[in-house]
Amino acid sequence: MLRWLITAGFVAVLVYYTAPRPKSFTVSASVETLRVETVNEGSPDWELPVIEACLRVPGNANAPAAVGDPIYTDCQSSRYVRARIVEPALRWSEGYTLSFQGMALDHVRILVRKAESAAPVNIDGFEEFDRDWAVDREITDGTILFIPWLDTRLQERPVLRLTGRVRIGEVPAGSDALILREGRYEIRQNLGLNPRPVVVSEGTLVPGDRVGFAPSRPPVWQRWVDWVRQRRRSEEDLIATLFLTDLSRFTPAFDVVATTRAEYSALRLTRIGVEPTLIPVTWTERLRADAIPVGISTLIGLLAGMLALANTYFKAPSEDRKTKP
Amino acid sequence: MKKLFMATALALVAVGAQAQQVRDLSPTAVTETTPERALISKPGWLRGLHVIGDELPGNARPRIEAFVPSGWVGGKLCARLTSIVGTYDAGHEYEIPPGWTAQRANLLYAGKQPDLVAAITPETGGVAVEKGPCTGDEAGREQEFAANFWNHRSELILNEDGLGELRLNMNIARADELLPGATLTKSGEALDVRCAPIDSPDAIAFNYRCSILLSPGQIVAAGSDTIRFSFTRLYRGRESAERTAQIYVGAGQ
Repeated sequence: MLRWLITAGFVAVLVYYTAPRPKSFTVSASVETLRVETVNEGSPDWELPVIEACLRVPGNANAPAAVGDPIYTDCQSSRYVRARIVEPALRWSEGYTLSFQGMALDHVRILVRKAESAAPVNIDGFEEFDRDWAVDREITDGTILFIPWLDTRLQERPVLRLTGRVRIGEVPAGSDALILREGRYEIRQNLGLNPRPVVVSEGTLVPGDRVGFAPSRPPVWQRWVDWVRQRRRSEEDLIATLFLTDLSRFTPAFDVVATTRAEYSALRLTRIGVEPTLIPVTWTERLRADAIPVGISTLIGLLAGMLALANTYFKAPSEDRKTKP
Repeated sequence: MKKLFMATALALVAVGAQAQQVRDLSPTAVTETTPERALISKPGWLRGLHVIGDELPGNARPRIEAFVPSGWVGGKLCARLTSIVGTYDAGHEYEIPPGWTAQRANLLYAGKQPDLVAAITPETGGVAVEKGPCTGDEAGREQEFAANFWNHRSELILNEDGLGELRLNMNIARADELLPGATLTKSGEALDVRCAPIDSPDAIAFNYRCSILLSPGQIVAAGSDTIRFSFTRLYRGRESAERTAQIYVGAGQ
């Protein structure tokens, strides 16, 4: 009976630690390139000291008036209108793809591509030298935004928060040298008896890596539960919450921290010369990260050792006596 | 519904209901490489120029059927074949004999990879048929290309809006935005052209797909005219110089 109980217990523990379970990720990286597809959900307001823009003039539209005296914009085509808007406020909505490019020490560029179906997003703010002049400019498809990390005139530093589907870094291509410089990731999971998620795996990212957060297939029982509850899981990438700032003022790279909520998901890593991989978490990593079974097994081991010792100690003399001639 | 439109497919078109004459042409020079790694700097921004028909069955492939403009007769033409991942690349050079009267040429494939080439479609590769020999650079002159059916039945199909498609597979490096334009050369009539980047790690030999959508009237007009295709790139706030090409979709010129 005891033997069956122990076997069943062992199998239960094995299944528990080998079955896939929701994971959450944290990636912290210093990058020169980052792509975010915006979503409505949880999209925070940007209230920045200043924003500059090369507003793209659509094909046959009338160009809006230029604003202010830009410092950072470098567009040189009649297809753009330049603007410097102070105290701007804006909120991204679904359907924009923001490509962040760190090419200069003092600012980050954002190339904005807008889906046709996306709701318009405007920059509301003021002209720098005439604060009575309220400015309102739509961010058109193809617009380039410039956000200074420490503006030479205003001496203020922004932090950019966003939610969306992210692609951190880019695999080096012949035509573009913007890459991830360095970074690390953590994978957290809720494990059995622990009240809080624990770090089950972590690692470093090498220059040129690209990471994203992909959904993964839930285990069989979870699919049954989903089916009963009529729940459909999205096959799109996970929505991450992230913020960007510039910690290293002597490189054109900027810093990003992105986290996801616990979901059946995987970290998708693309590295040069290697097929894209989903970073797995093995059952040994889970077991190692979970202190409670390790603690219990240590205690059991200790107890067993003590019992064995005691057994030997108490039984040994009688054995001795028996075997004596 | 789609079937219905296919049933109303027009034979392209340039020459209306007139029977199309197709003659075989054998290449006079063949180069073929299957590099392990793609070389995106191989010559040419246009890696495919196709009229979209229905796919041919496997035993009829590979087949490249191109329009041969009368102005090209007596000279050479070059068909460049590429797979989208860039692992296959070939150049076939053909001489058009002086007495050539056909409107279309079946450009025979003479490389060593017929199975590989038969499997490629306008989605996964391309053929660009250009006036002139396969060697030599393209600077300083306006390029001339002839549209072709690539492993497709040589009948243009119309989509649900009643428009036929001419598809360009383009290799565009360093572009945040591609700004295309297409007009009928003689009349100057603007044509509907749309371009989109191909967001796939496989898109190495070409990374943009452009479609020129033509109404039946425009198809007929284009058959006796040429299409002037142009594009500029926007990259980091700068606009590149415009490039142009003449595209033949009929043999009437």
